[in-house]
Amino acid sequence: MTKSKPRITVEDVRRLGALAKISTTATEEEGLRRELASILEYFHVVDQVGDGVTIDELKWDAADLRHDEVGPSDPDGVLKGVPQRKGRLVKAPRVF
Amino acid sequence: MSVRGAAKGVKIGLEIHCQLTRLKTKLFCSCSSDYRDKDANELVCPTCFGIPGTLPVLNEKAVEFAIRIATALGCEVAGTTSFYRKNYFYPDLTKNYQISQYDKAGGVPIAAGGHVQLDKKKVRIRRIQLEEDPGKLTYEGTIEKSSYSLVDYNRAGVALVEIVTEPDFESAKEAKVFLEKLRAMVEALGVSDGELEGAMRCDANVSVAGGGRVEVKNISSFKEVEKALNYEILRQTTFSGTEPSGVNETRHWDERRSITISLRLKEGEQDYRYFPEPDLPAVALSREYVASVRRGTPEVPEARAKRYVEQYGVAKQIATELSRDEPLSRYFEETAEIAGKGPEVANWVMGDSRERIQKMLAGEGKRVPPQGLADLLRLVDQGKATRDQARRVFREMLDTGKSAEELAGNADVGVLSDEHAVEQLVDKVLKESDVAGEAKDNPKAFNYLVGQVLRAERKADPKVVARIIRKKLS
Amino acid sequence: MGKLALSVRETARRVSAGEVNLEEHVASRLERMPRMDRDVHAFLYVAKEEAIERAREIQKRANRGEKLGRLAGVSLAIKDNICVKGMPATCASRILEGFVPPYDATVIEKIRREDGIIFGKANMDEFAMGNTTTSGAFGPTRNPWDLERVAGGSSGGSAAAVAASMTMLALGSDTGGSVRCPASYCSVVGLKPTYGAVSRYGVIPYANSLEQVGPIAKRVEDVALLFEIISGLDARDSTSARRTAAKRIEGVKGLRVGLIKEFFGEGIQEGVRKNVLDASAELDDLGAHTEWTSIRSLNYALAAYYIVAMAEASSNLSRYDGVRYGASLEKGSADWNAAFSKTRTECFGTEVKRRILLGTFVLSAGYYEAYYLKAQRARSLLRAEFKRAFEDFDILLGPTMPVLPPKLGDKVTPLEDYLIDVNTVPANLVGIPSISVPAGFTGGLPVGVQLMAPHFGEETLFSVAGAYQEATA
Repeated sequence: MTKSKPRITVEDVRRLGALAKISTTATEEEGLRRELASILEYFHVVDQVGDGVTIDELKWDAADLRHDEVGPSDPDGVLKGVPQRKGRLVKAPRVF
Repeated sequence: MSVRGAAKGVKIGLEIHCQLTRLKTKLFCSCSSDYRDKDANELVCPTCFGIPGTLPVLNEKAVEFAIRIATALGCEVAGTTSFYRKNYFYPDLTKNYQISQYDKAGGVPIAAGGHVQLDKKKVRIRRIQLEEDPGKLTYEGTIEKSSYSLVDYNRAGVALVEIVTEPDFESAKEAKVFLEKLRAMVEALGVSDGELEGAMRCDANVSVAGGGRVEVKNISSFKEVEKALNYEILRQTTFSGTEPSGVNETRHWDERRSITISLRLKEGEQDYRYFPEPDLPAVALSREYVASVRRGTPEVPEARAKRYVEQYGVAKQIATELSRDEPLSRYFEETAEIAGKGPEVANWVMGDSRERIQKMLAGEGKRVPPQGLADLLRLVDQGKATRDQARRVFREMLDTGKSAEELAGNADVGVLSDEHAVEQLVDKVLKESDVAGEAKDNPKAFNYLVGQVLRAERKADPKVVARIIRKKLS
Repeated sequence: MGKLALSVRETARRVSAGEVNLEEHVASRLERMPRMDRDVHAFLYVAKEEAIERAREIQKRANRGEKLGRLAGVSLAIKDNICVKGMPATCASRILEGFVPPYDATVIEKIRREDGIIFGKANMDEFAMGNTTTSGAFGPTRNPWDLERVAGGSSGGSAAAVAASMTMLALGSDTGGSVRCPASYCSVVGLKPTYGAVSRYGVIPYANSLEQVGPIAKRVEDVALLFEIISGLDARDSTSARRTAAKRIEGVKGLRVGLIKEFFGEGIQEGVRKNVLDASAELDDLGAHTEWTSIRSLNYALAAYYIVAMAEASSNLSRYDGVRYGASLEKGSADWNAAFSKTRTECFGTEVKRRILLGTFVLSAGYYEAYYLKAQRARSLLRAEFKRAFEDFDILLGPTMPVLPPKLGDKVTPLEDYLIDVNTVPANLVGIPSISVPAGFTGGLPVGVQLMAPHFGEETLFSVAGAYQEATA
């Protein structure tokens, strides 16, 4: 079954950008739209694959999982790389 | 219309997040999960901090605890369960995605389909899933005045179990009762200290009279739940007709002003792009594994009470009360297993000896083992002692630690089986008593007469005495 | 093997025996490094002090007669997406400028335990997305054989460092060919191990279900030794696996070789075709038996690869927002949305942004089933077909890359660029091991031949590739 090609619009590009926190200028948008459209069109070759094919997955036995024993933390190691801090707290932009 | 009056067509569903505070470590790393009262960003490691290149490693006990909850709620545990990424940006998420579970597009949460019986209502459980808690966002001063936020990631990665119910609640009160029952349950299961601040949080879905479903978020405590739900029911009932129905909305509970506020989210912003977590294989939950977890699970009072009714024939009221006391329940069971007389043992254990038994189980005084009580009850059964006598003997057993046989050897214990002797006693009492005439119709007088006979002869069987007196009076 | 320098084993032996003044040797090599690397630009960071200190420490132990590790005194270049504690890890991206990992990747721990000496962090395509090592934020790596041409990617710096004899060994990462492609273009040996054979803990991910750390060296035996050292089950990587006993084939006599028809398709350059068929003929001379075979589902393998890779990448790269490490957010930003977007938009390169947007698309509501799930189903079909092929053949063979190393500055569309990965991605999708071995030169440019074996069949690959390398030395 061949799905109809998605018409990817500039609005779509902006929406994707909003989801991914990547902004695009007006000039970039049209170029991106064309690129994405051509790549997505190529992706459609996977339509040949039936929907009934089982997807392989890795499996673990529950009994083999990590034991609930406390290990060392590394607060100094991770805090050292934080660009903006206030004392031990990490500074982030204000969220409404 | 009043808030208290039953609003028509109210449907409430709950989404509860319960921290597994009894775990020692976080869900996906070995940092301690005991974050309360710690310095900010103390319990963090490269993994829970989201440092590039790190990988999640699942905590086995979290899986066990989730299965305990699932079992207590009567849910079916999945044969294989898997984790999904929920993608969204927020400063309290170290990876800007949350590792969670999903029940669509091939995802299988750890358990689904159970129910909780409230007094007159059955509440269906849709699903149970494991997920990680985000960090905590705070502000210096007020949120409006501050130009930045501050994040503490101690809580990031702590294990949560999300419990989602069907919209079976019809009032805020029902929801509250359910939540309290749930809290008692997770404590009894040994998986969470539900009373701890932030250990149990709840979002709700509310709709009235077939209108749109409103999600209410940011309810900080169970106390607030009832307020928030009542407010929202009133709001929807009042405003239905002026707003388009069928609109789904998200609202935020403002505790300070006791109202819900619309969050007016832009469309498309909530696309979480769920997909299977590629760093975590699916977890196979074999039947043996689930069975062994179940065996190790503390029994919750509800299940225990049910079992006492079904297995031991104990009356429902007594079973319910008895089941809430764990040591007493154990004592009851062990005795009942030996004596084989469920209702009797239950009456005994819950009767006037109850307090003394509880004290004994707490370590005070001498111990009467279950076998001892069973022996005593056997004496009553065999007609070698009356119930009254047995009660006295039991008190002595608790005081002295002596066995039933030993103590029953004394003159006070034993049943006078010679009916003729009893009849003589009855005649004597009837002759001497002034209330003999009233006794036929007056129960109080009748009992007085029985008591008089017993005072004269302690070994008389009250049942036999009563029978003979009744015969004489008629 | 006379043309090649000493093997790793021989080097370690000499160091252990005290025949080398290791500290001097290392210091002098690192002294020359900037000059050597000026044109090639294999390194983003040269760990001069650390390496000399290491050499000094190893020398001390050698002098005391202590037993040294199997990599004693051997130099390594480490791709810049693998975390080495105390050394920068930028993934050739501005968004990770200033990031210094507070921990070692598992593979680095293992290398240190064997007394390997890390000379520095190698250049790459930004976040491992590419096959030329020209998309990084800190400049391209040039091919040591022809400085006007690309070194291949995304582990171009690693391969070039080895090819130019700046280090003996290197580690790269291979998500869709990123070890094999630069190995082929730089005429060195590069292995993509079986998925799960090597721990990914400490490897900054592009696409988790596809990638593996891969060893690079001039000799097959050195690649084999390095693989032996870095592989193994790791409790910190839940996708790592215990090596299962695969049927091991010794030597080439009687080896059943399958030439994959689809790998010799239209896009293949003539010089490449000729050299690879010659390589196959060489194996036949050594006693192998070669036949053509077809794997139909290769038709959609490339699309399936990119859909899955971009989907995973779009999520993996979400964490880069300037808050916890790397490039910082603008101070005093009022709106968090704008702040995150600004950092990410300015600090990610074009190709990375393109793939994030595509990945976001294929995971988004309404498209997930048609793209992502379909691609995963395609993978299962491909896996099944390869399994069947390995019933008839011991190894499968084809060109590593369909083309010779392109010139720097060659303009191609993104899609044209993706299509070049067509021969390398199947091994990543299926999880089987694949090795690229130099198959001579054509028109002065290197060609690589690719050999694939069933899961955990690395020993077979080393045996066959080693025999081939020996015969053609």
